[in-house]
Amino acid sequence: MSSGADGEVVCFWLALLLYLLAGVLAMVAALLNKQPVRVVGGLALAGLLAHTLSLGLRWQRLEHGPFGTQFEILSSNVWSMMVAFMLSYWLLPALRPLAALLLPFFFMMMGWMVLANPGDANLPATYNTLWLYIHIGFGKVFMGLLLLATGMASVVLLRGGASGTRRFASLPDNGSLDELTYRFLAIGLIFHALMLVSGAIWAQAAWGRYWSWDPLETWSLITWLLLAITLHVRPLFAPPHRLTACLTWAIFVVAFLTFFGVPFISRAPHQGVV
Amino acid sequence: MARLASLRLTLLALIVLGVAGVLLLRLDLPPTWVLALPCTLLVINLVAAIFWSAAFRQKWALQVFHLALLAILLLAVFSRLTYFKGQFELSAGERFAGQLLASEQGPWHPTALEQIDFINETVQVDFATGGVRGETRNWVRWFDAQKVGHLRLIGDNTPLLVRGYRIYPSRHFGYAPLFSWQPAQGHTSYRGTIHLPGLSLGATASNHWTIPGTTVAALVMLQLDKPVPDPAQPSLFARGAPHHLLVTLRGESRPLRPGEQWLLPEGTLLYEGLETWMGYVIFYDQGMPWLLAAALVGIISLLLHFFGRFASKPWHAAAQQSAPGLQEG
Repeated sequence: MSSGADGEVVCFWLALLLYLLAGVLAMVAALLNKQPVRVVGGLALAGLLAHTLSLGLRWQRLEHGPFGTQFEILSSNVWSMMVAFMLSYWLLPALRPLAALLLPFFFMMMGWMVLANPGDANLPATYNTLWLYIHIGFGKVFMGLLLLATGMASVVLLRGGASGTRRFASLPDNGSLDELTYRFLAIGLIFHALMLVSGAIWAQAAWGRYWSWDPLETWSLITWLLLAITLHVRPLFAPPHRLTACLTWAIFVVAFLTFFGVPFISRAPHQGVV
Repeated sequence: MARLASLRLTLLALIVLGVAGVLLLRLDLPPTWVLALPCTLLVINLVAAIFWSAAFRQKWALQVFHLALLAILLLAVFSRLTYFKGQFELSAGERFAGQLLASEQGPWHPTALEQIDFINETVQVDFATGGVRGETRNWVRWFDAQKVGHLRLIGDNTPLLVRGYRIYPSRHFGYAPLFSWQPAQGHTSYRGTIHLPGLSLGATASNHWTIPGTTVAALVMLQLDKPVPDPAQPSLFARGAPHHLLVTLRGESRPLRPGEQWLLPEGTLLYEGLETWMGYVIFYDQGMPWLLAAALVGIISLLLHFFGRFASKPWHAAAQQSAPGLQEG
């Protein structure tokens, strides 16, 4: 194995360890009703740096971005969602206790990556375009925003019980979380639309059609429709916060399956492209 | 009219559209008909809301966004009425004569295939170790209205644009042995290629062929000296690969190399050499740039709408409320 590959593996495992430590600490802190902001943030940031280094070394070694195999798609999406989480951790301090819910998600995703084949793969020639980066970039921003919205929705749902109310007492009230969830979903809708449009431009160039109802395209559109439905339900019915939270979870489930399920089971030429 | 503009109808139309999407995945139905009902509902709802919704009149960015959505739906209908798509193959050196392997088109498509005039000059495709297809380079010579030829390189992500048609090299291509047939009794001679199966279909490269003007059936099998694609090392798909042909006629097999011939009672079969063929996808949709413009206008107006809405209460303020007794470490 080359030194680049060695460094890549070491950084990957270091990132996994740091995410794990940060997540466990955040969960224990939530149980004890404490908030070790600096330690959790420091460990998560160190994990993100190690993860960035691992991805960078792989990119340099293979001379292409992490967009081809299941391992690469998982890794680059965990990385981008982690970036979204760290930005919110820095810019919106009131949401920092969400770390107890979101960091375990990251190390579980990393655990899934450990099961995936980390082997190399050549990217198809149709990936040699700037639209790949634009399309994937918008998709990653959308997924990051949706993850944060889902974290807040989870708190609203967990507060249905006395234990959840106590554990997440340090977060803003349900009304504020509902408003923030709405905002993240609204911005997510825009980035999702940008992902669809840039994907259509790329598909036209790569396969001679901008839309062909392949499974990934169709499920992406269904995700967008679910987002639009959720945003319309709010002004129409002024629904209870728990209903908005449930709808947010529904969007997350469909988006998660679209990003991490459909690309690996579809036989359309669109597979493996997120 | 207020009912047609209601958000309840919007929700219903969006849900029906989502269900239609799931149906498209589950059942082998034509998308146009499955989507006709939800899209019609959405168009009616959008038109009513744009003209009669008080909320839209107060929020111009939201109004523009919904106008853009309406434009997208109407342009999608226009596209379905006027689109064209098809597939064809050309050997190296062959001129496009409007013959397609398959095609479909909208009822209002203004067919102008006869105005497309180009020659597939030559093609090269790189393969990486393991057989993964790399870059495709296809040189074509297209002719403008004055019949002046222009050489152009097309390939992955780069189509040939002629008279509103977009012509893309497809992922189907293969070798094409070039034969000439000289009949013994003065019938018309023939010169042409046999398209062997595409490389994407696997390593087997053979095809059946009936010699023109006879009942003689031939099996033509290509034997490359080095495999293309080569699983062990990078390789190149191009004309001139070292090879020989194994031709079987009436139960007898013979290897043929370029320039060799086979004398038959009906005439002489000459193997001239190994050419290539390229598959193409042809696409026409005049609504496409307008769809893109409408989508971008919609996204920008939505961005402005949410920006105006969220600016009135900063994100910090929205997230500010927190319970007392927080212990920060």
